[in-house]
Parts: sequence; C-alpha cells; structure tokens
Amino acid sequence: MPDNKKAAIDYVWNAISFPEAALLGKRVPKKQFLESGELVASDKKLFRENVKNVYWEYTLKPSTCPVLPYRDNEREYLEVAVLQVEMNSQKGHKRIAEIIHRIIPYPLMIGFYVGTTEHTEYTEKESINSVSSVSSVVNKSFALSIAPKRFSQTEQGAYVAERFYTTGWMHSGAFNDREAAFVASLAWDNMPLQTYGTLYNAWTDRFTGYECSVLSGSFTIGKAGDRLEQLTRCREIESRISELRGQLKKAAFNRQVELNTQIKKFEQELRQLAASL
Amino acid sequence: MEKMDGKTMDIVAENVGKLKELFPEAFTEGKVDFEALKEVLGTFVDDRDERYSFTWNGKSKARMIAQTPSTGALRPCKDESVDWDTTQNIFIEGDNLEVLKLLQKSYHKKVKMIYIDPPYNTGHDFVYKDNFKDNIKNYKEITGQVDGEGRNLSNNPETSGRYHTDWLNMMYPRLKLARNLLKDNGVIFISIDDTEVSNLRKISDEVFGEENFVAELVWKRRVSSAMADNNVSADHDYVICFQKGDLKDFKGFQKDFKRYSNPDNDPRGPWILDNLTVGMNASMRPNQAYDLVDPATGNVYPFNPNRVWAFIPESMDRMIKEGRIVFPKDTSKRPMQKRFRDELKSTHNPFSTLMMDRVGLNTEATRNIQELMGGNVFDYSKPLSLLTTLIPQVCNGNDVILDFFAGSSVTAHAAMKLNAEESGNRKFIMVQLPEACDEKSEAYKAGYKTISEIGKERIRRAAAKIKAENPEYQGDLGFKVFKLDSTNIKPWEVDFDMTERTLEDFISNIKTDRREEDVLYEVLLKYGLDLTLPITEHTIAGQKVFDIGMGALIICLSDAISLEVVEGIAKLKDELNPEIMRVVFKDSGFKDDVVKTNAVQILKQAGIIDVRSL
Repeated sequence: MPDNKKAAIDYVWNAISFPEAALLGKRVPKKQFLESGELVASDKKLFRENVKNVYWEYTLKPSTCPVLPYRDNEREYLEVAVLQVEMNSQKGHKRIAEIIHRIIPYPLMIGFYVGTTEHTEYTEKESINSVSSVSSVVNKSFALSIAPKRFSQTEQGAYVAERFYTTGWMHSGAFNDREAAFVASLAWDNMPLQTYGTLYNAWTDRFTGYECSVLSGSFTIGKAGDRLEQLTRCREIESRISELRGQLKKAAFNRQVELNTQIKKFEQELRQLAASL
Repeated sequence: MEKMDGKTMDIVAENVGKLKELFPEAFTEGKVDFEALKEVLGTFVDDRDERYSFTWNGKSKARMIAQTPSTGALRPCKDESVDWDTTQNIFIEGDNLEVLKLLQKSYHKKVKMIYIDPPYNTGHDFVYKDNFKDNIKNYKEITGQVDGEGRNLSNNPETSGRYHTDWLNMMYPRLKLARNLLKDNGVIFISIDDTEVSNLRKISDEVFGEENFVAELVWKRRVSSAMADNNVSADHDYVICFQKGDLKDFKGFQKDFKRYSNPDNDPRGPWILDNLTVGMNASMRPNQAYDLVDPATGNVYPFNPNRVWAFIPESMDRMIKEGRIVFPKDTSKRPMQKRFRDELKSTHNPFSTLMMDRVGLNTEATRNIQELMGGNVFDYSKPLSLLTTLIPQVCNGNDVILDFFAGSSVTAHAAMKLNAEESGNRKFIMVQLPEACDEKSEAYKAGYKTISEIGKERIRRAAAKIKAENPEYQGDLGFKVFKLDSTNIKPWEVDFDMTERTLEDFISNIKTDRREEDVLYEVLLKYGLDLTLPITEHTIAGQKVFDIGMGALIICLSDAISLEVVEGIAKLKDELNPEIMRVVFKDSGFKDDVVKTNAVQILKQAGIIDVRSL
C-alpha cells in the first residue's frame, strides 16, 4: 500500500538514482517547521493544512556517497539533504517550498507528491470513475524544488536563498518531451560529482533549463547565469500582463483598448524572449 | 446593434456628474437646486455685489465656449507625415480651441507638460475671435478656406478698444480646456511679456487655482536696447508655471562636486568647508551666541552678534568630537564646518527662477531658426535652450508634451533632441493654426504659405539634423499630421433645415468627399482613443478592415459588407486573440437587414458581442 501511494515520487527518485547508501527515509516532525517562529500566520495555515508529512529521504554527504564538500567565501556545500513532502493536495507547493528552503539553512532538493489515503476506495474502479481518474492524475504527479543559498552579508552565520526553483506538477505517466528531458537530465550518473558545489550548480543549470522550457517549449541545458536575466525579464512581463488583465474589467472602453495594446505588445516581447531562451 | 453617439466629451455633463457625486442633496429631479446648494456650502457663498473678482466683457461667453462640444474632426494627412505607421508624435493643423475640444476624451489626464507661447497681445500679433455659434465654419473663414465676410483678422490693435478683453476671451477657454488634459501631476508653462502678464496670472489663478502657482520664471531675452522709450529697457519675458495639483518637485540640477576634495583622507569621503554661522542675531538666538573654544588649542573664537553660530553648544560639542569643525590658527578668522558629499540631503540644486546662464537670448532663437531653416523664416521663436531646460525639469522619459501654440515647433524640436541625447521616449503633440504668412515676409518668399507649414518643416529638418548627429539613434523622429475639418458624418451636424438635403444624404451618412481613414480617426476620437494606437489594415473579401489597438477594435467602413467579410472578422479574432473586441460597421454598409442580422449572429458565435454601427 505505501508503495502504491508514493508511486509518483518514487518514480522520480528512481529516475535520478541517488546512491543507495544515501537512503535515510526519516520522518521530520511538522512541528519543527511550525514552531520555527519565522512563519507568518498565512504560511503557518498553509503548511499545517496542506503538508501531511515531511521525510528526510536521502542524505548526501561524504560518508554516504563519495563526493567532496565545497566551501568558498560566498557559500558552502558540505552536504545536501533530499526531502520529500507528502501533501494533501497540489495547492501552494511553491510557497511551501520557499518556506522549507528558508527554514532549513542547508542545500536541499525537495520532492512533492500528494498522498492518496482519501481516495483509496476508488482505486479498483479507477478507469470508470471520473473522480478517481482525476485523483489518480494527482496521485501520479510530483514537483521538485531547489534553492541555491549563500552566506548572508549582514548577519553572521545566516543564509540567504538567492532564488527559488520550483517546478510545476508533472504527471509521471504522461510527461511531455521537455519534462521527460528535464527528469532524465538529473540522473545521478551524468552529474559532475567533483564536489557538492559542482553538483548543486549542475542542478541549478537544469532547473533553469526547466523554467526556460516552460516558456520556450523545449528543454536544453545552458549556463544558468546567462539565461537567468532573460528568465527574470520573462517573469516580470508575465506579472505585468496579469496586472494589466486585472485592470481590464473595470476600465472604460478607451482604457481597455490601451490595455489590450500593452498586453499584446508584452506578449510579443515574451514570445521573442522565449524563442531565444 | 448599438448606434454610436457622435459627440465629443460633454464637459457640462461631466461637471454635473461631479457635482451630483459631491452634493446629491442639491439635486431635485435631475436639476440643480441652487438654494439647496447654497445651504450645503454654508457661509462659503459670497453673493455680495462688491467682492473680489476678475472679470471682463465676454467672460461668461468664453466659459460657455469652452463647454460647447466640438463638431469637428481631425483628418489624417499621411503625405505630410513622417513615419506614419510607427510614430507616436502628432502635429495638428487647426484652431487650437476646437482641437483641444476634440482631444478632451482621448487625452484626458494624459499630458505631463504643456508649454505654450501664445500671442503676447502687443497689437501686432494675431488674435482672432472665436465664433461660439459655429466655430469650425469661423475657422475655415479665418484661414481662408471658405469665403467669409472679410473681417479684420490679422491683429488686435490697441485702438480697437477691446485690447485686453479680446485677448482674455481668446485665452480663457483654451486654458480651461488645456487643464483637463493635464495629468494630476502635470505642469503648464506659459510664455508671456509685460503686456498681459498680470492678466495671465489672474486667469491662471482662476483656472488652475491660486495654490497651484509654481513660479514666474524670468527669461532674459536680449541685452539692453538703446532704443528704449523712457530709457528703461525691458529685457526679459516671463514663463508662468502652474501645476495641476500633484507635482512633486522640479528635478533641479545635479550639484557640481568639483570643489569637494579629501586632503586629510577623511574616511567619510570628500568634503568642502562651509560657513558655521546662520543669519540670526544674538537676541533672536541667545542659545547660539557664545564664545567658541577649540579644545585642542584652547583658542577662543568670539561670536558675531549679527551672525551667531549655527548650532547650540551641545550640538557644537558633538560636531567638534566628530572632527567636523576646522579651527583656523588665527583666532580672528572664522571656524568652518566640513560638509561631506556623502551626507548631502540632496544631490541637486534647486531650479532658479532666473534662467540666466542656462537659457540663451532671442539671438539664439534667431540663430536656431537661421541655421536649421536656411533663413529668418520665423520671428520671435523661443530659443531651443529654453525648452531643453524646462522639459527635463518635469518630464520623464515617456511623458507626453503638448504645445497648442506651436509656432515654429521649437517644443517638438527640443523633445526630440532630449530623447536622442538621453535615449528617452517623450512624445509631443503640436497644434498650430495655419495662419497665413505675410506676403512680404521672408517665410513667404521661401515658399511657406502658413505658419503651420514652417512648424512641420522645422520638425522634419530638426529630425534630420538629430539623425545626422546621432547616426546610431533609433528613436522616434517622425510625426503624424492631422488637419481640423468639419465632421465626416452628416447627422452629427445639427441642422434643422432639412430642405436642402438630397436623397443621397439619406442613403449614406458619410460625406461624399471623405475617405474611410477620415471616418476612422473620427471614430477614434469619439471613443476617446489615442491617435497613435497601432492600426493595421486587413483586406477581407476585397474590403478594408481596420484593426485598432491590436485587435481590440475592428472597424469596417465598407459600403459592401458581405457575410464573407463578417466571417473574416470572426477569423481575425482567433488570430489576434485580443482581450476584448468591439466591431464597428457603417449602418448603411449592409446590403439589407438580413445580412445585418446574420452578421450579428456570426459574430456572436465567434464570441464577439460588442457590435456597433454608425
């Protein structure tokens, strides 16, 4: 039964194939996150209601897998923890990823999946029951997240997440080409394993590639730094567009025409940027 | 299918609406109850016969004229334009009163800065009388487009006895209309000289509000003239500046840090020595009148009873401890304070109302014109440096600048020049009357028949010059030309005398000598749309279909609308995928009512519900 439940997340861990010695499978009490004191009320509510369980699934460190720790003036990668988060629904996983990355000051990879217990009664007649087929899509979906962190310049011993990379939900049974290419690119055997720093940077390149692929439609790996600027611009345009769309309904006709013109121009720019990603 | 109404923005209705919002109790059955309104306003009503006011003959008429909607239209003129398809700049040839009315809806609160250089009313300049019955016809008579009764049009001599009155009647409605176009943080600059400066201040106080007066800037226009009548040489003009109400600040000028240095390697960075006293005497500031002692040497520096120290003793002690005070060896000299560049409250100096060293004289303006136009084709234009100084004070990179007494279009020239220098994207709207050039003038001899022709040519030449000086510059150096004319659409001309109407009039409501583009821009103005929106022309089943604002508005003015055209428009919606779509047809464009009904159905199926006719 548990195997059936977390098929989706196991799918991705299998695809990556971390060294077996790194498997830990230890449950982390939710309390630890909720009591960290940094959470605002709305985050606390989201976390309490939607996170079912958090597991420390793999611990990647020199004693469990032969990769060297890395440290320079800006950051350190002494080890990497791989967490898996069992959710009650797909809601709010990006925010939850940010919460976890902020609370745990170490380099992390997080895998999200949705638990199935509420829907077990449907599994036998899955193919004919539309409710269960929706839930089965949900149950076969996962999402991944990383966040490169560096030392805080203002506070000794503190860390700052430079950027959050969290994928959308991917259905392990029905990948599109770019999702399949992204997951395949994470395979452990293809990683530059000189240090945990090179590993994490390679992940960052691939997650950046994933974000670019959402816009451009195809997945390629490139240097994250070069693409990030364009990606940020794309995100800016996207948020400008949704802001303008928000104004549309209440606006007078002449303002609507203006808004439409601005939106279409942004969409053109977005398409051009996406094509060059 | 909803039929379009043909009025420009109805200012009276707007005002009534605003009043109703504020004082609903002052309205009974949709009309204003003045007694009730008076009660709401309490003691604020001043209805004594003798009260502070500024009035002249014709003031109420002038106010009324500002509120009558225009019956005009702006006809596009591609031949005289530059970069028609892409430019965001506009040049409108026509009477500025009508043009300001036509722009009310489309440019309501869109303009950041207005600069105007109206007639100074010196007796030799052109001040023409508005005709509040039919100002468009009046305009065409005055500009010689239609034969009129032959009035004295060319100037407003002192002898006419209505010297200031005519000028005020001309200015007042225009300022009122101009104010509506200003953004809430917008600013207006008005050039003027001694003749009307006091009247201009008064009507501006009234139109913009006394509290929105910003400054009366002084422009030195010449070096003293020996020809002065009474041996007093008036060498300056004014630029009156009012804000709409929400202007933050002028930008001022970046401070010059050349004098800052750091000879003692102070970790706080470069500094200069500054005065340690303030302009207060000992009786005004007894706390700051004390003998200052240098703790390092014991030297005593007595206070100056007419200029005491800038700080009370406690603050002074702290300043000394922090090493901010420099004591001279000679106790008869004054201690000074170090002022650090990094601690300055502002990196800018304020804009001085005396614009001496930044703005050139009239001779510069003459040189500007001569160099650019190859002759002295325009007298008394303003120097380019006046506008390149004023514009950056209030205008950011993307703002719209309006000049409705454009003259030689120096404002447009300055805007383009500044854009090129700092890769800005300011847009201009110039309005100029096609006032005839005097046949004896140099301009006339050079081939310019009207002032507006000079203005347009100046923009073209200035653009060429800017391009030549900055070959890499890719910015907007074009402009769209529009010309004021009467409306393109017949029913919009209110006329109760139906006897002269022919059968043809009833078949088509568009005047026969007008093109589809003319009507198109009239529709834009009536809908309150920006004249520089992107417009794409599609040909569907042999008919012209205009797509305005990237699919938001589709206009087909064809006389032969078939169902193929309508289906083509439905397809266009899929292609362009706009957020909203309104479709406008000509009412008489459908073959019959069956086609019309089917058209509405086809569009409805394509998800287009907003279908109108004119």
